[in-house]
Formats: sequence, C-alpha cells, structure tokens
Amino acid sequence: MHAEITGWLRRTGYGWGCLFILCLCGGDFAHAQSTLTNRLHQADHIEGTFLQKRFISVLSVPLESSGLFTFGKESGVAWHTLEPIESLLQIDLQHGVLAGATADQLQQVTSSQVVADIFLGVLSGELERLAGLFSVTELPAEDGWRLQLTPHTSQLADQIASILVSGDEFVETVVLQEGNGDRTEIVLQVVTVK
Amino acid sequence: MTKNNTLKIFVSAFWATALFCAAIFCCVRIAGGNAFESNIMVLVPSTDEARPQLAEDTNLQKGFLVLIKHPDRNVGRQLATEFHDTLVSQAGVEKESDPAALLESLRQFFHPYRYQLLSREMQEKLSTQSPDVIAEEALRALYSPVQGLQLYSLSDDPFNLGGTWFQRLYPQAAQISPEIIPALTEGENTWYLVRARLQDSPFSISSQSAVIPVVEDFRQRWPDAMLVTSGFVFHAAEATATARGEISTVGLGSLLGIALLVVIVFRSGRAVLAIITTLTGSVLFALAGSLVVFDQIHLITLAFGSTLLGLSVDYCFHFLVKSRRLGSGSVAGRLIAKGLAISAGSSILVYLMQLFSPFPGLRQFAVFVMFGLLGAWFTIVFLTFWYQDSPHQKGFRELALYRLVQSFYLSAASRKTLVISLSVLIICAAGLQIFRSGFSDDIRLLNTSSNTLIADEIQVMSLLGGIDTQRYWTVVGENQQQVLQSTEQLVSVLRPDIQVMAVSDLIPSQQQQQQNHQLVMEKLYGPDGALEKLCALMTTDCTLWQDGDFSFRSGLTPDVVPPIIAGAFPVFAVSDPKHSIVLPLQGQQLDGDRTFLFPGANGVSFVDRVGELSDTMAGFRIQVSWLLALFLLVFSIACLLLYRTKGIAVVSSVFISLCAAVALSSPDAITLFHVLALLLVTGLTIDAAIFYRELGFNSDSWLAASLATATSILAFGLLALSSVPVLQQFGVIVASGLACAWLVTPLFHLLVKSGSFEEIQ
Repeated sequence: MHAEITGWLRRTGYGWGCLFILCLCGGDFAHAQSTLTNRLHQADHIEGTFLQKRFISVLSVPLESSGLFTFGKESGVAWHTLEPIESLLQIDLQHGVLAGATADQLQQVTSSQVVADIFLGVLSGELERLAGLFSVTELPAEDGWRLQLTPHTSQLADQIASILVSGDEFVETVVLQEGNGDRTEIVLQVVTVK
Repeated sequence: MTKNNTLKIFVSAFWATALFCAAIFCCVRIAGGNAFESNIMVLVPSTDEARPQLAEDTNLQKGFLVLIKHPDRNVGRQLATEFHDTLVSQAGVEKESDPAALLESLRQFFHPYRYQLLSREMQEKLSTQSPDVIAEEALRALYSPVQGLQLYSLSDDPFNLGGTWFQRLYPQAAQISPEIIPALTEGENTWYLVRARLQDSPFSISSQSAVIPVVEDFRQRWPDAMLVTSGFVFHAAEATATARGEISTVGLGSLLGIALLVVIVFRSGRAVLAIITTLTGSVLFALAGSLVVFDQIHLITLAFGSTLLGLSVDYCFHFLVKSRRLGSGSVAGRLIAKGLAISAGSSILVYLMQLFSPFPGLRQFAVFVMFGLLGAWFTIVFLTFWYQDSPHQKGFRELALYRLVQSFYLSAASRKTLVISLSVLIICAAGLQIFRSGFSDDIRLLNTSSNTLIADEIQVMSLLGGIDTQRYWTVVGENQQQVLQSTEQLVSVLRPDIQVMAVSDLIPSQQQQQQNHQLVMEKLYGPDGALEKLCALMTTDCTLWQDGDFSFRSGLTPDVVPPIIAGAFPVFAVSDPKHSIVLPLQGQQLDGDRTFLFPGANGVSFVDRVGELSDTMAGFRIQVSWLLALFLLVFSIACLLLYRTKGIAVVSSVFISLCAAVALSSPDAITLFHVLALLLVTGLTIDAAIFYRELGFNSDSWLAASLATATSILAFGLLALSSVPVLQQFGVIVASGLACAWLVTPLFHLLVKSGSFEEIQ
C-alpha cells in the first residue's frame, strides 16, 4: 500500500511537497526540489484522516478536531470534520470555498483568497501561485524533510507568520503560525490512494 | 502730411504694436507651460457647485492602475515587479499608499469600536437568528482550517464582526492575494495589480509623459504579456494625442492647401507674403484674445480653431484678386471694405451666439474664432495701405474653366422653374432627413477615448469592481449626525440587490452605533448570548473571552477618521459635515424605477450626470436652433432693407445651403454639433453672397469665392476625418454646406438680377 501511494504521488506530481518544490527560490530551492521530487508520491485521488489542534491565546486548552479528507484532481479538496462537531469544507477552483454543516447546507464562504490558495494549492499541485507569497527555507530534519515558508509581505505576515511543513514520502504535519500568535497544527495520514 | 497718410501710419503702427504685444503675450504664456488644457471635463458644463462633486475630484483622478498578465505566472510576477519599479522611478509618479499600512490603520483605529460596527448582512443575521444557531455556526468556524476574511484575531472577535464589516467596505479584498505586487486570480489566469499615483494632475503633459512611454515600452518589449490600464491619465493622454493629431492634420492640411492655391493662382511672392501676414495676424490675435479671456485653451478648441485658417484667408483672397485686377491694393481695399465689414461682422455675430452656450468648450471656440476673424479683418485693413502687387503682374488671364462656369450659370439662370423646383426638392430632402433621423443629445458624442481604452476600463471593472461616478445620491443635512442618519435611511430603502458605498458604512451615526451595540450585546455577549452558548459547546474555559470589555465607545465620528483611511474611501473625499454621497457600485441596473431613484427622503436627491449633460445638450440644441432661426429672420429683413429685392439672392443662398448641408450630411440623428455647424455654414455662405452682391459675379469674384471655399472645405473636410465624433460631425456638415453654397450663390445672384446679365456680358 505504501509503495502504491508513493508511486501515485510520483506519477501525478500532486502532493503536499509540490507546494514546496514550486515555491522554493534561490539556492535553497534547487536543493529542496531535488530532495522532494525524489521523495513525494503522485496520485489522482487520495483519502486520509487528519487531526487538527488550534491554539487560541484566550483559551486555556487547544481546540482539537478530527475527521477525513479527500483530494481529487477534478473535485478539489473535501475536509470533513467529524469531531467534536460535524462540518464540511469544500474547496475547488470553480466554486471557491464552500462550507456548511452537511453537504446539503454548503454555502459560499468569503474566505481570504490566500488561505484558500494555500490549502488548495498544497493538495491540487498548482502550487506555483505560492511562489509570490512565500520564501522557503529548508530546515534540518532527522528523517525526511522540513521546510519553513515565510511571507514576502508584511500584509501577509499579519495573517500568517510562517508555515512549517514536514514529512517523508508524504506530507505529515503542517504547522500554521498566525500573525496574532494563534497556531494551528495538522497531522495528516494518507489511507487510500487511487 | 496728408490726412490719408496720417491714418495709414496710425493704423499701421497700431496693427504692428498689437501684433507684437499679442506675440509676446502668447510666447510668455506658452513658455510658462500652462497655456493649454486637455481635460475633456472642462468642456462640459459643471454641475451645481453646492452639492458634492465626485468626477472632478482631482485627488481621485491622480491614482491609476495597470493590470499585467502573462501565460507564465512567475514571468508575469517578475514583469509586473519590474514595471512597477520603472514606473515609480519616473519623476512625478509615486507609489500608492501601502495596503498593509492602510489595513493596519483600519485595524487599530476601529478596534475599540468593533462591537458597534456591523455590516448590513450581520445586522440581518443577528436580528433574525437565535444565539444557539449563531453559537453553533461560530463553533464550526473555530474548527475549520480555513477562516473567513478576518480583521481581528479570534481572541478579540470570536464572531468575526470585524471581518464581515470589512468585507462590506472592500468587497474585492478577499480575492486579492497579498504578494509583493498584489495578484488577482481569474480562473486560470493571474493578473498583477500595479498601482501608482501622480503628483500632478493627470491632464498635465508632464504627468502623461511620465506614464505613457513606460506603458508603451512594456507593450513593445513584452508582446506575450497582456497589459490593461485604468485611470484618468490614460484617457487624458489619448485625448491629448488625438487633439494634437487633429491640429496637425487640419492645421498643416489647411496651410499646405492654401500655399498650393496661392502659388498656382497668384504666382507671386508678395501674394504669398500677404497670405502669411493675414494668417499670422489672425492666429496670434485668436490665441492672445483667448488666453486673455480664459486661463487655459483646450486642445480641442485649438483643433476646432485650426479651421480659422480657412476662414481668415477668405478675406485675403478677395482682397488679392481685386488688387490684382485693379493693380492697386488701396483701391481694392476701398472697394471691398463694405463687403468685408458686413461679412466679418455677420460671422462674428454668428459666433457671438455661441457665447451663450452652457458648454465652456464652445465659448472658448467662439472667442478664439471671433478674435481670429477680427485679427484677419484688421490685417486686411493694414494690407490695404501697404500692399502693391508686382508691376509685371497685370490681372488674370481669362480662365477657360470660368468660361464653362459662366455658360453653366447662364444656362441655369434661364431655367427659373427648374432651379426653383430643385430648391424645393432640397428643402423637402432636408425636412425628410430631420423627420427620419430625429434628434440625439447623447453625451458620448464628447467622448475622445478609443474603444480599446474603454474595453480596458470595462475589464478592470469586471475584475475589481468600481464605483459609478456618474450616477449617485447626495444627502444634505443640518449637521453631521443628521446627514449620517439620512444616509442610513436612504441605504435602507434601496433595493436589496443594489450595492452601494456610503460614508455611513464606514462611520455609522451615533444612533446606529448604539442600535448595533445593543443588538451585539443582546445576541452575542449578553446573558444567554451566543458566547455563553459557544463556551458551553466547547466545554473549555472561556473566562478571558467572557471577561472582555464590551462597553459602548462614543466618539466615532467622521471627523476623527485618520487621513490614510479617509483617503482610501472616495465617499469621504466628497463628504463634509453637511453633505454626503452614496455611490452605487459599477455595473448595476439603476434605471426604470423612479420611486427607487427618488425615495423622497428629506435632503436626498439622485444625480444623473449623464442625463443632466444630455439634458443640457438638448436644451442648448433647442436654444441654438431658435437663435439661428431668429438670426436668419433678422438677417433676411436686414438684407431686404439694405439690398431690396436683390437681397433675396443672399437670403436664398443661405437657406438652400443650410438645407443642403442637412440633407447631404446623412446623420444618424441631428445633434447640437450639427446645429453649431449650421451656424458656421450660415456665416460662410453670407460671406460669399455678400461679396457677390458687392463686387458682382465675374471671373475675379468667382475665383476669390472658389479659392475661399476651397480652403474652407479643405479645413473642414479634414475635420470630417477626425476620430472625435464632435469634430467629425462638424466637418461633414460644414463641408457639404460650403460646397452647396459655392454652387448656388452665383446662381441665385444671377436669378435675382432678373435676366439682366450685364455683369457677365
């Protein structure tokens, strides 16, 4: 199964790591690109689980949620939160960001385009758009790779101070540090690859 | 010294001094760099000065936008960055205010008031939904990895009141990606938004010279990239280029035509010198007179005024032909003096009528031509004293062409019934033309922007939205709070599908702020509010949220808004404590519902600049038509009194030429500019008819009239090639009217002589 996923990611070029291949700049870019191109898998459709923790400064404990995610080349990203409250988030290029309690109640969300771009770009593979937003630094990692994305502009930095992504053959964790001090940590685990 | 010599020296000295002063004055004004104007808006009537003015706000006019796209997004980004850097390095161009600085200012300034500022959508939501529903929705948002547009952190604003309020102020904010050069995604394409600001007016030549070459250079160097422009400076630059082109075409064309005719007909250096002297005098007097009356002359006025060359040279042709025939400039001058005075006087009278025009552009044109005609007339008087043709030039050889013309007119004049029938036919054709085409007062006739530039503006509008600066509501009140309340009342009664920008969106009235705060406390932060429900759902400690300071903050009024925020909102630029403005966003259908447009609230009125200007044009068209009719009536009576029955020739020539001009010009609809062109046809036809009346129909007068008509048609005919609708319409109708006048004036002159063709024979 693992090899299957690896092969899929290599074939299609879609995967979390593509984000970082395309948005790397300068000397770091070439090195990180060669590292990630060799490691990441490619597929038309993937499914998995996620565990998300949001650290909000006024709350004493993080907000934990979990659920399922799917990514399809045509259908975009579906982020289905199951616990503690069910909600559905759907992002694709055609409709933008839709959210609701269930699939029947999806409504357009006026979301910050940059956040939607990052989210969709990471899973769709159309990541070149992020090159204008972030610079990339490759960080030392014991296993796999670790990359830090830092915004080019102060306007973006007000929203997102940095994004830390790490993984090996897959993207495994994403840490989004917001400008106001709040933080979101996401752990992904791919289950199905087609 | 004889009396005649004294007069000669006095007139000559006066003419030379006046010409010298005019030349010096023009040089000083032109060297000063502010003699000419290219802002098309100064040509149209200004609106009520007491109400807020938007389109003319120069601060708004200084900003401009260039959108750049390339098939390769990364290349597009690089090109846009280079373009931006090149642009802002130009003298007179500066960077637009940093969007991050503006956002930070907004965030900081409005932070204390965040519980009393609600978008209309949020007001509706809080009014209709229960705290339980609101809390559940907020909980889902908290666990979502993608947040809606936010102005404050979750800690400060758990229900994102700031984000929804901000979204209302900047509907496109969420779509713009904050790259170094902001980017906008449109399907598969990415546009990079290069914004900049001019230090000076977009209508100044230096501003245009700073921006336009950079844009053109980019287009040449990067044909694969697409560049779309938006802003006053691009329209102003195009108008300037068009006007310059028109001036060059008409001015140079007229000059070359005149020079060619003079060389062919007169074959004399002295005649050429006389023509040059007349043209110089005419143009210098026109320029100086206009610059004395007006601070600046519009380039379109100059383009129109270039036709003056064709008019002023008419007088000189009559003088030169007579002088050649008689062998004496002074005798020729005395002979044509009466005709010259009547002709120049009647033409100036015709132009005087345009001084009553509500259009500043037409008033400028009238003053320009009036001074030019005065200058030409004065110069001919000067020439009368000094001009003497070459001794070896004795008259003209009888032209073979003239013999043909003579026999044609003799033959035609003997067929009175046919001539009268044809005249009636022309009158009927003109009537039918007017009946068929009707009238049009569309303000777009004044447009000088190309279709490409307009298409660019439409594309920018579709991508980024925009405000309609031509149709809007104004609100007047006794004080700031009353104005804000009336504005809110107006916005509340507008159709829900109409999106507007109003001062009260940014700064609501104190009354509205208190209502908002009351609603927020009741549904969100008060006992049993959504925050309590949310905390219960999260099963976590919400103490810090619940201990927040939710009290009402007074003091949020328009006069305390920082300049960086006020400058970013066009509605602020044109509002004051007693006035405000409500602007619809672009591309909305506002027509049809009169009760909607005029809600009848106190102090509220709807402004339709396009409609107003069209109404002004319609009013002036009718006014000028009546004045023309009145002038023709008075002129006819004067002619009959002065020339008795022979005056019928003059009157008939004018009427038939006017009718032929209308019938032959084939307009889609009769406009104000057709009527103004008819004024000119009237003046020129009167010139020709009066000279025939005074000098008789013979080879000399026919030659002079033909030369005069040829130069005028040359000038106005070239206007007919203009890309500006106004100039084009003007050119077509004047050229066709003059051609007809040239044909019919001798005919009517002969007809009225009742068959006694002594002049010919």
